Amino acid sequence: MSTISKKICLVGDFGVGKTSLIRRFVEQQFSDQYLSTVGVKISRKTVELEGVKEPEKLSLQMMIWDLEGHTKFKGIAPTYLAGAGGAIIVADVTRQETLERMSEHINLFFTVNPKGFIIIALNKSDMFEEEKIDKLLSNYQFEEEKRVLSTHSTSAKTGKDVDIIFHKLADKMAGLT
Amino acid sequence: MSLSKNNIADIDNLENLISFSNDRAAKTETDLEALVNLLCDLRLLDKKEKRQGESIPCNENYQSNESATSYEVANGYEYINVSASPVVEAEENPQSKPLSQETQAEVRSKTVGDREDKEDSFCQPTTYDRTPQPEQPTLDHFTSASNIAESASNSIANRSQELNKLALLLLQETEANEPTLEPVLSSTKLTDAHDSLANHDRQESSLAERYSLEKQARENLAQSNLSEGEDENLEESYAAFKRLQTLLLKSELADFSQVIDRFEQKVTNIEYQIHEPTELINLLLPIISELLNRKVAESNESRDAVADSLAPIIDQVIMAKTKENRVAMGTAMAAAMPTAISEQIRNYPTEIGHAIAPDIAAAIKDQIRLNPQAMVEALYPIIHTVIESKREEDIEALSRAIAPLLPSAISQQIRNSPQEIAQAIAPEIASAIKEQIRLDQDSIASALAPEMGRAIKQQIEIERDAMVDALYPVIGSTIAKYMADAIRSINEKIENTFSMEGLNRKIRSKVQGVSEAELILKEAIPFTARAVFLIHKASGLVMSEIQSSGEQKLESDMVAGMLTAIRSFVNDCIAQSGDVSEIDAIDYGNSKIILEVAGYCYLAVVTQGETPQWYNHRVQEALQAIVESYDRLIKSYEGDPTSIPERVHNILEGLVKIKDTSTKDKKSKFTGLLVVGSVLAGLILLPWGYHQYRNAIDRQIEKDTAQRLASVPELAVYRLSINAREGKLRLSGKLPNQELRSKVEQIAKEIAPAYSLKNQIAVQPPPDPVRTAADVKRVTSILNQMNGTAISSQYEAGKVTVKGTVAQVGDAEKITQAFKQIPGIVTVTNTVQLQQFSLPTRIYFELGSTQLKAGDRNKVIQVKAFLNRYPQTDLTIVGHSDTIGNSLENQRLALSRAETVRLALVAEGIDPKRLQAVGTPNPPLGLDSSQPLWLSRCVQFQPISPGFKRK
Repeated sequence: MSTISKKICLVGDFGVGKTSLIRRFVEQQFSDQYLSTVGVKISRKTVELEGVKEPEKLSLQMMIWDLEGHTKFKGIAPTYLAGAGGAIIVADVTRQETLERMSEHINLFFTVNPKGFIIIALNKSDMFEEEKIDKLLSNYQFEEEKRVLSTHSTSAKTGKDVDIIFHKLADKMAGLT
Repeated sequence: MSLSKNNIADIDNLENLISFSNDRAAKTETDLEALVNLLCDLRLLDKKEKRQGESIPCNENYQSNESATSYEVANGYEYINVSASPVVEAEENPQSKPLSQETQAEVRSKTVGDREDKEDSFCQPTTYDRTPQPEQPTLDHFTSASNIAESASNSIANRSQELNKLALLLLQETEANEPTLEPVLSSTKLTDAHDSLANHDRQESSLAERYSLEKQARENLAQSNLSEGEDENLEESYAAFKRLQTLLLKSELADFSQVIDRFEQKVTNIEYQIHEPTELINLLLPIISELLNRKVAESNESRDAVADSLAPIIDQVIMAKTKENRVAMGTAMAAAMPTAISEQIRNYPTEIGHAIAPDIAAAIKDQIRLNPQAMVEALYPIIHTVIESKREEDIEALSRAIAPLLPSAISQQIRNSPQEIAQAIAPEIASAIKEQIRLDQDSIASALAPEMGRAIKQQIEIERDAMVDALYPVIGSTIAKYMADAIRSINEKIENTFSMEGLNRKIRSKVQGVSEAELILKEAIPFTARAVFLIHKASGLVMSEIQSSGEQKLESDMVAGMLTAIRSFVNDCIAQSGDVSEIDAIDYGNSKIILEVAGYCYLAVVTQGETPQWYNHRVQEALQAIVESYDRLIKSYEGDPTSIPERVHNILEGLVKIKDTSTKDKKSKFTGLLVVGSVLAGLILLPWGYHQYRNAIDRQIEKDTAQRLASVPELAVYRLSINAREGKLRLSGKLPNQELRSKVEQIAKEIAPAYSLKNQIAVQPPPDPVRTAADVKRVTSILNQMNGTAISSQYEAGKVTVKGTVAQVGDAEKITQAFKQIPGIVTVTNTVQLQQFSLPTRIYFELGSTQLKAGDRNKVIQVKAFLNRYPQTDLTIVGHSDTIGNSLENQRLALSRAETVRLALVAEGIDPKRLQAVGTPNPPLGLDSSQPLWLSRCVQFQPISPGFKRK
């Protein structure tokens, strides 16, 4: 079994739940406490991917870079994005401006990594009505960008779709799908 | 049997016939006149000719020429028959066209077949459909040309043979003597003939038919001959018929022979005509093409046949024609040439290419030489179209074709007009290079690499400032980094130079051959490398890691990620924009992470203890080695550690397993110094040791000698000093006589025979004791004359004992010295004491009174006399009081009483400086409470001798 490593970044405005998503994915935990990330925090999780064709199992070690959220005073440092194979762009469904700034983040990421992949997480979906979420999902599909894989409504609190977005990105980065 | 197979036989026949006809031609050559006639006859033939006239003379010809096998004869017969039948028909019809048409078709079919055979050698069979058509007009030219005509005449000669055979047939039919048969036969044969040309089976059927007809003729003949019985068998009737025929024909034989003669003449004419074929050709000309056309159009087989028949000769024909009249040939072909060529090119470009290839260059070259302008003009309008279409079609072939010429063409052009080439290439050159880099990254680099150095040098020569500006940001920081390293190490050295510790280290470093800085480091914690990581600069992924065994493993991925983030942070937030600076190391306690950064990766080395300078260099070298070999691999690292070659791991391993190569050098240096040092030490120590050794021996000899001398009784009393030094034994001292002196010398020689003896012992006889005693007495009396000195002396055997008192301390010493000066006095025992003065006089006072009593006047005079006697002596006047009453009052009384006495003595003329008055409330010493009180109310005197005063 071979292991390859990939760097992925979580990008989004401050307080959209990037750290919580990582915590849910890596440690299966959630906390309501808000702790602002300073600079960058790096987590690691190895996921096992089953190749569609190859019988051999492939392990992908995800080096997850939790970047300091975008604020109006300070943007995302492009050097932190460098070398990333993929990114999860996170927005907060309860804050419209975070949704609107996603395209900005997508552009920034693709400027730094033209070959990277992006998956969209509309987080805190547990705090919003379901019908409205469906509408949001259809509004933020970014279909014109082929390297944006899909948009998911996630909840770090309930764990909804959290593993899916990471695994989907992992599959894509490993070149399996 | 197919016609194509037959063809070979035909060709053989044809060839035979050609030679035959040539022979014939040779025979008839002389008969020019007859030819003219023949020409006339030929024209008239159609009109005049009777079939009897033709068929009968043919008979002989046929028989004389008959040489083939029976089967071939049958074939040939059939073939001839078929071909000939139109002639027969032509004879019947007044028009000559059908005949000539057919004949021409025959000729054509052969020539075309021949030609097509030829074409077959390089063409595909499908060309049959097309090639004959363009040939059509050219054929006319062939026929007009004499060469073609000649071969055509050969064909016609063949035709004459066929005519002969026709004659045979006619003869047979004539023999049948059935006039009604002829039209049937001929008409049947005419139709058959066409069929048979196409189909052999049909030929055979027609043959069978013809036989049946013949048979019918014979039957008819038999019927006509009434003398013969119906029931007679066929053979017999036939024989009878023969006989009858002979009978019947005998009368007509003369006519026949006449006809034969005429026919023969005609044949000769024909042959002649064939030899001189212009007329014939002219005759055939209008129809020959049509003949061929018809023949060709008839069916595939017939076309094949025509092609086959023409094939073998057509090339010769063309070649000959070309040789004869190039221009005519050219003109003839010119019209059809473009179409033909274009057609051929369209169908088989490759073949055309192959065919033209060897000559085209020469042709073009020739043309260019002859008329370059024309060539240019001719090519100019199409050349780009040609190239364009070719490129669209097969870009690779075109490039292959052009490739070999390009370099020389370009170099030529560059030589001719470099400026134009430059202008032409200039706009594309950037994108061309970019594209090439995209296709093959290495090529451009390897192409430029060898020139890079010189280019840079050149640029520096041209514009130094620009180069400096370009390199400044990079070189500045690089140099700064190296300078910082160097200065730090220099600083360290300087700081420690002047301390005591530093001096000590300096000496040690000199001795061991290790630098002082390293000694400092060694004094601190020993240096170890815990782990080495090769990290992808952008993503922070670990590409390769080596950790020293036995220690707790570091989380390499996390370390690498955080280091990368820190690096990014520092570069973003701390480093000034435009600066190219890097974190070199992160220190934490005793540990340190050394970071060495290259283009796409960096090395992180986790170390413990003070990092020596050489290790930093080692790290730099390692990274350099990695980057030089695997720069691109590292750049495109995708997270798969297996893509990193084994050598990288080995290089990193070398950094963890530290083996200080520099120590080795220093060791050797150290041993070198040790040798030098020990030699120096030897040079110093050996003489010193020798000297020490010699000294020890000398001391031993001195000791031995002293012991021996002491053991000899008569010498023991004398003090002799023995000094052994540098091979010399020096004896000194005093002995009373020469005998003892030589004895000492003898003993010394026994003990140290190797030493040269220097005997400095003085011989001194002992002084006379009587004289000495007299001297002692005299000295004693002299000394007693000194002030305050009262001594007595006793002399006994060199010893003087002095007793008595002296006034001063120094006098005692003077006395001793004085006695020692006397010869014969060995020791002086001086017990002289310092003399103590006392003045027992006391003056008493009344109770509470400080006034002298009248009777005390004498006592003052005594004191005055004492002071006058010892002018060197001072006097302390001590006043006392009784113990009654107030002690303070007593003290005052005592002092007043002493003062009173002092004043009295001063009044007597004593120097007041010699007098000191003191008071004490205590009674004088030696008085106790039992004695009367008045004894205590007194003044007493204490003389102060000059010796005390001085101290």
